[in-house]
Amino acid sequence: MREQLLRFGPQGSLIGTITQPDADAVPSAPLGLVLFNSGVVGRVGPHRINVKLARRIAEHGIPTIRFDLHGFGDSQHADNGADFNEQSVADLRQAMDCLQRQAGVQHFTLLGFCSGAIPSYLTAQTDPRVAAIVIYDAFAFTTVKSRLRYLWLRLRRHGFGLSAGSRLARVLLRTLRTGLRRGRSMLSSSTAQDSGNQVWDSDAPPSRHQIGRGLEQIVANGARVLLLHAGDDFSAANYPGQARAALHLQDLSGNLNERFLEPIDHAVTSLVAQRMFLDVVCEELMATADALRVQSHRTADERKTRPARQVSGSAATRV
Amino acid sequence: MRPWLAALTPLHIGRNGRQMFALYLEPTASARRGHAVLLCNPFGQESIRAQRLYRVLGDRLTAAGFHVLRFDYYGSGDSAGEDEAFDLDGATADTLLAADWLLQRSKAQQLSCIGLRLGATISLLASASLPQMPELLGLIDPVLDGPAYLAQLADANERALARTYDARWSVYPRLHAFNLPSPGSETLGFPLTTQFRDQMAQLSNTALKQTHASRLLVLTPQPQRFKADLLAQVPSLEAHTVIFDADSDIDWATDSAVNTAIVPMHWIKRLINNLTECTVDA
Repeated sequence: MREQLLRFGPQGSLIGTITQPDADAVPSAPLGLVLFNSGVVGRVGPHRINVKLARRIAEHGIPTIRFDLHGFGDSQHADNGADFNEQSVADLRQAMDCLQRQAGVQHFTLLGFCSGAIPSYLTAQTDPRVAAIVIYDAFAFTTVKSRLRYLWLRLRRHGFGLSAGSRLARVLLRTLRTGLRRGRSMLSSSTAQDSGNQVWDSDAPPSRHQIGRGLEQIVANGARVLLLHAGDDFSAANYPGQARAALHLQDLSGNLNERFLEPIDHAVTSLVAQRMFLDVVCEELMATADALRVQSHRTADERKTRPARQVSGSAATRV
Repeated sequence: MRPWLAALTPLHIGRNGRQMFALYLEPTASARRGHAVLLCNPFGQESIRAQRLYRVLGDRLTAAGFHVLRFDYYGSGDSAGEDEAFDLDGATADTLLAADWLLQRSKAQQLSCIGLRLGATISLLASASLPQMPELLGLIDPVLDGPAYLAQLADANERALARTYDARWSVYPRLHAFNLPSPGSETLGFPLTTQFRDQMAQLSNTALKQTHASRLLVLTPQPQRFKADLLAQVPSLEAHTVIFDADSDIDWATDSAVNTAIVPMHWIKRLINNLTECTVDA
């Protein structure tokens, strides 16, 4: 494994670190990984998780760039007036360009850790080089089941007495009201919302319907999606399959997956939580690399067979 | 590039396999002073939380004409080495190497160091062996009692996990077993190795006794207590020390409000004013 620090992007205003596998370690996978800020945390990531991930995945032949978006970490501010989402997407594209030049990879996985989810999602919609996105602890939407599970947790904590009963009544009433409101909203706007990110606006976040269709569109374009949820905020996510149910995700290709990482927290704090997170992300990266290899072999085979068909076809014509 | 910045150079420094990330900020020729400032990071989660403060501090110092080097110790931040490779002696040696590099690169005649929490302690420990006596050691909320610091870190870890899991922490004991398999051996996502704990256990105002600087500037939420410690341990230092109330008691060892960038500008102004006062070409 070897690491290189560099400035890239407009006027060298972005700062990043490229981690490349040793030349003699393992054959290079046709995939690169892009890591960036989570909230205001610098490119090393919460608890240095990006550094650990980059070095570990390099052992499997996958190069990585970890970098600071404009205005974050060590990178300079951008002066072009773009909003956060526009600028982040532009920065991610610059990072892919940079890794492409340095490591020769043409496909990328973007890790959207928490607030990094939105830039990853938007970039995957517009850049065909994105082979996969891993969305960590974002896009969490409740379901009736998740609300009931959360309620059960609260009851277990507070006991089953009179006050717990009144708490239960209040929560059920609130759930009912929310359901009615959501139903009315869906009825009134069902014709307007169906294009994923294209109506994304920082001031008006998209609905779960839009996000769901946007993720399906990413998969339809040939990329993989992995949604990961931590288990610390039980009010947001609390059972495997919740994202699929909440977003009404339908994917028959198997390229849209989700994992509920029940014992780990949002910031991946404990060392054992970090190991679990790294295991899951590395597994997904290897799966993406394998899929790209298969695709690449298939394309090569098709190229080999295509000229043969043309020859026989032309011969038949001549006959 | 900002107008006050002649060059912003990310680079690796270090020797004997201890490759460290460093960022050298060079002021423009018109503003340039012959004074270089080394910024010493704190440890673990405190370092993650302080990143923005160091970024802004480095930028402001450069704008004021100082050469600045920010760097990550081996086994921390963007530098080489596993988390477990970080220890107090190693970080002190890394600081000496970084100071040497900064003086050679900048050709500055004067050197100062600034550190927050354990970074302040490391700059104190390194001060006697620096290539030249530092003009000023800027100490922000320094860690002087190693055992107390270890206890604070252990407590912060427990509190952080209990807070983040909320109701589940008390309902599901298996979460304890999973996340705290060996209490005391890690804190807020960073390992506390036996070596590091042993080094910290021996740190009891010893850092102050090793101080070697023309001037100390201390920003602390407990100025009276620091003054008492100073008088008790190294009374000779008092004449060279200015102590200010930090005027804010920030919990650096926490992962709550992880998205909060903490940059007390009054600290930065005070540090720059004091550095300017002791700069020969000012």
